[in-house]
Amino acid sequence: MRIVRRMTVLSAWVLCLLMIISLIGCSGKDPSKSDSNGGAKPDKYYVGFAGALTGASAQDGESGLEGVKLGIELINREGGIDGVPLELIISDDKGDPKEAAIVANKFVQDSRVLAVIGHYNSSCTLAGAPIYNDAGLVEIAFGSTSPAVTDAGPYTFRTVPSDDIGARVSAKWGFDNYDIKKAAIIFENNDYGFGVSKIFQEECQAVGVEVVANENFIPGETTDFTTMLTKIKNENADVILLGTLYNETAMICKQAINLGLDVPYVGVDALYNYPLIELGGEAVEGLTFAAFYSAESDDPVVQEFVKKYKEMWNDRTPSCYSAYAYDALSCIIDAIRANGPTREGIKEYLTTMEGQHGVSGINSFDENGDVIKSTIIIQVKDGDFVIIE
Amino acid sequence: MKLTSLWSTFRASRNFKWVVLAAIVISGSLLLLLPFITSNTYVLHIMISIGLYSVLALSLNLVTGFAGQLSFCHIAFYGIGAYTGALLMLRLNVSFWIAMFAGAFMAAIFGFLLGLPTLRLRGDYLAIVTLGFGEIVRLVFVNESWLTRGPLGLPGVPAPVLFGYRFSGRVPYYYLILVVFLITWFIMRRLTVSGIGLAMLSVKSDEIAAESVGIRPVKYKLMAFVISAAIAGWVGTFYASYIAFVSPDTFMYTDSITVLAMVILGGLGSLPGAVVGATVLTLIPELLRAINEYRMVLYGLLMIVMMIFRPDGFWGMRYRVKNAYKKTIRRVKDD
Amino acid sequence: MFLQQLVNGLTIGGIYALIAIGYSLVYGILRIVNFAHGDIFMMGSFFGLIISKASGLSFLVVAPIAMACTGMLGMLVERLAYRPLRGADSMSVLICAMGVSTLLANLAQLIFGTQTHLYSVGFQLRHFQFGSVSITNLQFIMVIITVVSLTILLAFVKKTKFGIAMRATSNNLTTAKMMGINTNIVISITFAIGSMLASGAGMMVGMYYDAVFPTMGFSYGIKAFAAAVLGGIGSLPGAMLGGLTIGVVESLGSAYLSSGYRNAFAFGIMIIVLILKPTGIMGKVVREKV
Repeated sequence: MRIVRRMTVLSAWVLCLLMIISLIGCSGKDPSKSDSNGGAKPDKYYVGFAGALTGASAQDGESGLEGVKLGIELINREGGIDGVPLELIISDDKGDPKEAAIVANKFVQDSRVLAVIGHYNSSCTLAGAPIYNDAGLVEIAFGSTSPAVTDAGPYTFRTVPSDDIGARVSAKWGFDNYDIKKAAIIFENNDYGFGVSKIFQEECQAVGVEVVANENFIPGETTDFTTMLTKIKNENADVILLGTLYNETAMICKQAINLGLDVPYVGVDALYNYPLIELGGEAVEGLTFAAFYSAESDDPVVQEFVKKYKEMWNDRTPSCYSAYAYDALSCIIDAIRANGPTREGIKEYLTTMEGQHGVSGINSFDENGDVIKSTIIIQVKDGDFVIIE
Repeated sequence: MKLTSLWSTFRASRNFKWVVLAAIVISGSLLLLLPFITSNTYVLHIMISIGLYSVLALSLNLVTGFAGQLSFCHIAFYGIGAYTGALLMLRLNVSFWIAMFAGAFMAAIFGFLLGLPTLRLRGDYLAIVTLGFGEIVRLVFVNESWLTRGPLGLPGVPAPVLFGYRFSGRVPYYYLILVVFLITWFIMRRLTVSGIGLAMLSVKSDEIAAESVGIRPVKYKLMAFVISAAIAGWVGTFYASYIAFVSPDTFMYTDSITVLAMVILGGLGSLPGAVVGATVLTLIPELLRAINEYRMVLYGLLMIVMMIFRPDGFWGMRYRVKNAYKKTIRRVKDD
Repeated sequence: MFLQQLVNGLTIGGIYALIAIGYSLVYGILRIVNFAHGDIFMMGSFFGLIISKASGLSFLVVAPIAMACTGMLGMLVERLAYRPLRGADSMSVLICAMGVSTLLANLAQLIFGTQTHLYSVGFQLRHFQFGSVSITNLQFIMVIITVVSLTILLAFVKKTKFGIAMRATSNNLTTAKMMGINTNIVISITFAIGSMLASGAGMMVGMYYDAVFPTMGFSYGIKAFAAAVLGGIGSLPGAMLGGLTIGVVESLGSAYLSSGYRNAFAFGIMIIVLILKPTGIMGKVVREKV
C-alpha cells in the first residue's frame, strides 16, 4: 500500500510538471519570434474580448460580449476585413483584478491578438493597464467609467465616457427640474458607484443642496435596501440620486414603494438597460438619467444596429454596454482597415481617429484615450425609455 | 507486485539518494533558468502567481496544518501587508525593501489581535470568527476612503529599486518571488522540524494532552498566527508592487478559501504538499480558460472529486506519518 | 424610524433564522459545516420560480413541490459529496463543501442566466400603516411561516420516533448505529429538512424583494452561518435567536452608524458574543474528557 501512496505523491509532482508544460504549450507563440513572416497575409485576424462572464458583474459582461459577437458576425458576413475574416478570443476575468492581470498577460503574449475589447470593471481595466501599456497592446474598455482610467496609459482607450460627464449632467438636470433642498445618495460600493457618489456630492455642494443621507451597499449580493430607505424617508429627502446599476435600482424603487416613500429618482447612463423596466415595472416610472446611447434614437446607424441585434439575440433590445462594446469593435475594424493588422498601427489610428460614427454617439479619443460624447436625457415613461431632452 | 518490489529495490539501493539529488538539482536549475528558456510573459506571470500562492499556502499551513486552527482570513493579512506597503511607498516614499518589512510587521500585529480570541474559541467557532474578521478588514479598506481611496484602489505603486536598478517586466519579480519563496520554505522547514513544530503538532492533535506535558497551547497558537500573518503581509507588499495596483476586491473571502483549499488539497502539515496544492489550484483555472462560462463549474466539480479520492490531500499526514516519525527520532538523538 | 428599522431587521432576521436552522441541524448530526447551504437556498428560490412559471399553478401548490425538489437536491449533495467523506478530517469535508458551493452557484448561472429574475408568482402585496411603521401582508405571512415551521420542527425532533433517532445520531453516531438506527437515512432526511427550510426562506426572499439572482446564495449563507454560531450551533432555538439578533443588529447599525459597514455589524456582534460566551448564546458547554 505504501508504494501505491508513494506513487500517487510522485504522480502529483509529475502532474504539476505536465500542467506547467502544457501551460507553456498552449499559451501561444512569442510575439518577438512571429513577426518574421510579416509580409504574408494571415488567414484570420484575431481580437480579444475580456470582461466578467461569471461573478457579480457577469450580466453586463455578457451584454458587452453579445454586442461584440454581433459585430464579428456582421463583418464576417461581408467577407471580413479586406477578405480576411475576424475571430474573437474570449477570456473571463470574473470582475476580479487579479484575474484581469492574468488575462492581460495572456493576451499580450498571444501574438495573434491585435487589440483587446475590455475590460468591463474599472478595477480590472486598471489592473490590466500596466501590462497592456508595457507590451503596446490596445485595450478599449467598454464599461470602465472610473475617472482614474483617464491616466491609465497611451494604449488604454474607452468608448464609455467617464462618470465625470454623465453624473454631472444628470445631477444638473435634477436640480433644474425638481424643487430640491435635501438630496439622498445611494451608491454601490465599488469604483463605479463611489466615483459617481463623489460627483453627486460635488454637484450638491455647488448648488447648495444638503446631502441628508449618503448610503452604500455591496453590489451583487445585497437584496435588502429597506434600512437605508427608511432612513432616507425619515430625513425627508426630496430626491434620491442613484449611483447603481439596473438590478439594484429596480429593487430599491420597489422597496421604497413598500415603505411608502415617493420621491423622484435621478441616475446615470449605466441604467440604460431594458431589464430595468422589466424588473422595476411601475416602480421605476419617472426615473431620469443622462445617457449617451439610446435605442430610440432616429439615427439610421443606431436603428440598423438595434434591428440586427434583435435578430441575433432573441428580440432583446441592446443595452448601453452592448453599444459601447460594439463601438469598440468598430473602431478596431476601422483601424485594421486603415493601418493594417499591427498592434502599433491600431494604436496610431485610434489616437488620431476623428468622429467615428458609432451607435453610442460620435467616437473621438482625446489625448488620454477618453471619449467625449453628447448627452441626452432619458426618462422612464409608460414602461419605456423616452428621450426627453 | 512487480512494481512494488521494483520500487523497494530502487528505494533501498545506493543510487536512490543520487537520483533524488539529481531530481532536485534539475528541477531547481530549471526554475532558476526559466526566464532564459521562455520569455513568455504569461507563463512567467503564472509562475509568479504560483510562487505567491505557494508562500501564502506555506504560511497558512503553519496555522492550519501544524497548530490545527482553521483560519478563513489569510487573505486579509495579505491585504493588510499590501495596503501598508503601498501606502508607505506612495505617501511617504519609503523604499520597497523597508515597506516589505513594515507590511509584515503590520500584518503580524493584526495576526496577534486575531490570535487572542483563539485563547477561548475552537474549531468551527474560530473559523467563523476568522471569516468575520476577514470581511471586516475588507470593509475597512472599502469605507475608510480618506486613507485607502476606498473602492478606487491605489494605482501606481512603485517598483522596487535594487542597487540603482529599477525592476521592470516580469523577470526580476520572478527571481524576487523565488527568493521570497526559498526564505519562507527555509523558515517553515526550520520551524516545523524543531521543537516548536512538534509542540504545535501536539496542540493540534490534543490540547489537553499537550498541556499535561507542559506545552502551553495558547503560546503556540498565537505564535503560529503571528508568524503566518507576518509572512502573508510580507508577500502582500510584493504583490502590491508587482501588480502596481491595490484595490479592496482583490482581498475577498473567496480567496482565503482558495488558499485554504490549497493547503488542505496538498495535505495538512506538509510543506511540499502546500506547494503542490498551490500549483495545482493555480493552474487548473488557467488550463480551463478556453471554456469560459463552464470553467468555474468544472473547477468546483474537480475540487469535490479530488477531496473524495484523496481526503487527506496529496501529501497528507496519513501517508507519511511513519516516515516523519523516524526522522524526528533521529533528530532528537542528534541533539 | 426606530420601530420601522426594527421591523426591517426582524424580517430579514427571520430569513437568516430559517437558513441557520439548516446549518444547525447538519452540524448537530455530522459536526460539519455545510458551506453549500447558502447555494441550496438560492436553488430553492429558483425552483419555486421555475415551477410556478412552467405550471402556472397557485403558489400554495408550487411551494411544497419546490421545497420537495430542494430537499431532494440536499439529499443528492449529501449522497454524492459528503457521504464518501464520512469519517474523514472535517477540513476535507469543508473544502468539499466549498467545491459544492462553487459548483451550484456557477451551475445556476449557466442554467438560469446571470441576470436578476423577477419573482412573479402572483402574490398580491398590501400595505398596512401602523403609526409611522408600514408593514406589508407578506411580512406577516413570513413571520407566521417562520414561527410555525420552527414549532413543527421542534415538535418533530422532540416527540416523534424519527426525531429521537435524529437526536441519538447527533449524540453519538456509532452508538446510534449499534442501537439499530439506520444513520444514513437519518442523515439524508436531516439534509432534506434543512434544504426544505432553506427553500422556503429562498421563496420568501424572492417574493419579499421581488428578485432572485445566482450569486445571492453565498452572502445569505455566511450570515446565516454566523447566526447559527451566534445562537450556539446545534441548537434550534439558538439558530432562531441568532438569526433575529443578526438581522436587527445589522439593520440598526447600518441605519444609525454607517451603511457601508453593514456586514461588519453582523460579524462584529457575533465575534463579541463568542468572545464573551465561546459556545454561543444557547450552545451547550461540552465538557472535554481527558
